[in-house]
Amino acid sequence: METMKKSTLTIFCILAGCIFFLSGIWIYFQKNLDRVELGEGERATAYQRHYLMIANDKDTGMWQSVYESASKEAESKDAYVELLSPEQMNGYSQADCLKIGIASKVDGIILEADGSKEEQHLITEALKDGIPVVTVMTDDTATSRISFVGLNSYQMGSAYTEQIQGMLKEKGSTSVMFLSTSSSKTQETNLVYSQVKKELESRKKTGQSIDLTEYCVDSSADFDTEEFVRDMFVSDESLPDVIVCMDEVVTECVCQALVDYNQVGNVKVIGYYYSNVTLNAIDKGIISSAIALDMEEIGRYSVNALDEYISFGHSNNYYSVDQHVITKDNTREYRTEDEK
Amino acid sequence: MKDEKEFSAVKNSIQTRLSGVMLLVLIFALGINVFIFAQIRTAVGRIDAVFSSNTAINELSDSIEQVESTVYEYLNTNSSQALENYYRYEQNYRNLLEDLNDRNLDNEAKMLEKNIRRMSETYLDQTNETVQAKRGRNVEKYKTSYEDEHKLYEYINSYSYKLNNLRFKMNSANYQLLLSAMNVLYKLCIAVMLVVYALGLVVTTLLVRNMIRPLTALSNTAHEVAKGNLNVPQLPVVVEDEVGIVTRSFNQMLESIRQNIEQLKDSMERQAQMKERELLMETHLKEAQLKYLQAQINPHFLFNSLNAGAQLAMMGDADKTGAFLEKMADFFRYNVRKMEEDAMLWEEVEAVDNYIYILNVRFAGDITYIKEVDEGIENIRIPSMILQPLVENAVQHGIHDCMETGWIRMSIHQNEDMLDITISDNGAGMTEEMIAKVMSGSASQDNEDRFSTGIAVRNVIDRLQLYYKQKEFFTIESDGPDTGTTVHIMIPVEKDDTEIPKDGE
Repeated sequence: METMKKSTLTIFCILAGCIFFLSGIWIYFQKNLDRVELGEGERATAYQRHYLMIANDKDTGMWQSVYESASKEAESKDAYVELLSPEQMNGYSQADCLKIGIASKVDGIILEADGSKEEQHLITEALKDGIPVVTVMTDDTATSRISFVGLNSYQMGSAYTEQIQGMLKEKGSTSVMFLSTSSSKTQETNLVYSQVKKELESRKKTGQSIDLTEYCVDSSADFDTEEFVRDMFVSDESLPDVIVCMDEVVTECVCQALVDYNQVGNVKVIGYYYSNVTLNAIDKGIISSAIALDMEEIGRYSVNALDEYISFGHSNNYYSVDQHVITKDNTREYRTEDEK
Repeated sequence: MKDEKEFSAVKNSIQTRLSGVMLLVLIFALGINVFIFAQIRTAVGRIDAVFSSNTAINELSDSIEQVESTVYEYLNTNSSQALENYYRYEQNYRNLLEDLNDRNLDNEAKMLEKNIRRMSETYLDQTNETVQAKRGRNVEKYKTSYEDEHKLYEYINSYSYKLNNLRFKMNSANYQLLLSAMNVLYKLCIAVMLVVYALGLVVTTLLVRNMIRPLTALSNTAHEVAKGNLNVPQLPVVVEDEVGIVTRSFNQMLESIRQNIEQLKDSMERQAQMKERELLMETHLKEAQLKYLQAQINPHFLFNSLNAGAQLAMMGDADKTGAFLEKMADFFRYNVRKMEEDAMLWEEVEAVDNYIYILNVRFAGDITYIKEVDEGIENIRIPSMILQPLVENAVQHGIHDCMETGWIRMSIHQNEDMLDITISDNGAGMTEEMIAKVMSGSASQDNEDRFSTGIAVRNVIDRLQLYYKQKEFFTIESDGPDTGTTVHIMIPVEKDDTEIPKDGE
């Protein structure tokens, strides 16, 4: 009887061990299988509305910030924001993207206007199809866009003026160059430029003279921006005392050129937007400051505008966003969590 | 029939248990195999499903291409066949579109699907418009409409491409994941199989060993017994199976063999004892016989008795002489005849009477003989020639020197089932030493005595012992010299009607 009990116990233990082992395998395997998401979007949140955001250059930090804040805001308004960039679609223009949006019957479109006739026509068509369009950063008043979310050129001009003023030579002429690319040069930047010009004239001290120039790099062809900046630094004579960058890419190119051609300190630079490169450059003193629009506000306001329009049939014609002046003292605030 | 019944009566038969174990192991292995195959099947099914989403998009692309090409063909040729095809393909494409997502979901692929679906709907509306314009011969309209529609077609294609790419990327990752899982599963399966089979082997071996162990013990014990060693311990019955039954039977068999041997030994011993006793008895009888034959020819006793008879005759008392000679004849006849047989008590008493009579004739009534015999006990069987030698002893050693004053008393009483015989005298008496000597049989006897018939006391004791198989029934008591002697015999009563137990039967 004793042996019987013993053998029964042994068998029981073996069985229990095997079952334990097998359940382990089963759990492991099921976990692995569960990682394979076949029914894509099965657990995804469903939203009531679908907005399309057309970004010229969706990989820049600027647009990423705008998209992130728009997405976040949209989520609270039960909407989904899709980011579409012409460069992402082979050989398509912004107009093509707009057409896609209209054909896709989205609930709203956010884009940076380029002022082309085709675009104006398409925006009107979109509204006809019941798709409201919000322009951000650059406006096109000739269209029937429902709202514009962008900078206040007056405030922006003042901010730039303040920065430039601190860089002017005590005596004599200081050459200041506004550098933008064809994609960033818009009506708004023009307004900012004239505002800066006007304010500098009134605020300059006696003995100070300012030689304000504006240059727009034709960025329609790839890599031209960098080539232009390099050329400018190679031919020393054309190098201004102060460069005001009106574009994120330009800022990064100038930063690199300053280091490469040993012009740090000789040329003072005001950057645009707070990319990592720019923030590092500010910290190292390569460039003194940078001006940036509050991208988070752009994203939020644009979604708000669409939501308001769809819900109530109208919305603000103009949403003004703040700008940030980034100097050595506050770079930390703009770094992302993991960089800190 | 009986065999079969017994066979089925075995509670845990080895066959059942072995089959049970094998079945258990097999079912276990089978279960694990099924489990493993089910897992593999699931995994393969998943791998299959992984790329099915890509296939669906390709189908969609093919379908829209058919629509587009038929539209172009119709616009180009205005053929009714193309128009027919167009409607068919359009319907087909619409059906395919039904499967696409139409909700706003937080998932890139799903949103692409939604866009494709919506764009396709716009596209199909546009193609319809184009076809209608063509049918209405509105050349300007159908040309621009075709352009728009073609543009949309391109958009849809690029979206399909994008979706396909996205899915392929996701699916490839999934595929890699599944593949690695399969790899692990494959290795685990081999390990599990090996473990299971090893465990099966262990379990089977363990169980079979448990079954075989009692059998091994049994065979060892049987071997021991075969060698002649019967003093082996009882084998424990572990399980009530065939081996258990055999073990039990073996134990019983061993036990009965032991008992038989014991009995045999016992009876042999008894037989030997009996034989010994028989031999002893024979020896004693022979001795008594011899002594008695010697006594018969003891000239002193015979001559003295004859002399006494002659004196009686000479005195002219013919009656007395006749009676004397008759008693003498009776006495001698009894002696000769009764040695080998049992006698009745009355015969023994008569022999004593005759003896005393003879002596009294010889000594002219000198011996005082007192006889106390209970009534109704004459027919009790006792061994022959017991009382006379004792009375003779009392005469010869007790009152021989004081015939005038001496007396001899013989009393026989039945005390329930015991016979109480006492022969006492008031003669010479005995010392302790003498008593011990007589009891141990080392006292010498003078055969030449003129009163002796020749049978020693010791011989009487020995015969009584042999006859009754007990010792403490014969006592000699005396307070010392000149105080007389008492011989006391206690023997069990054996009536005439009961058969005399001969040879201790």
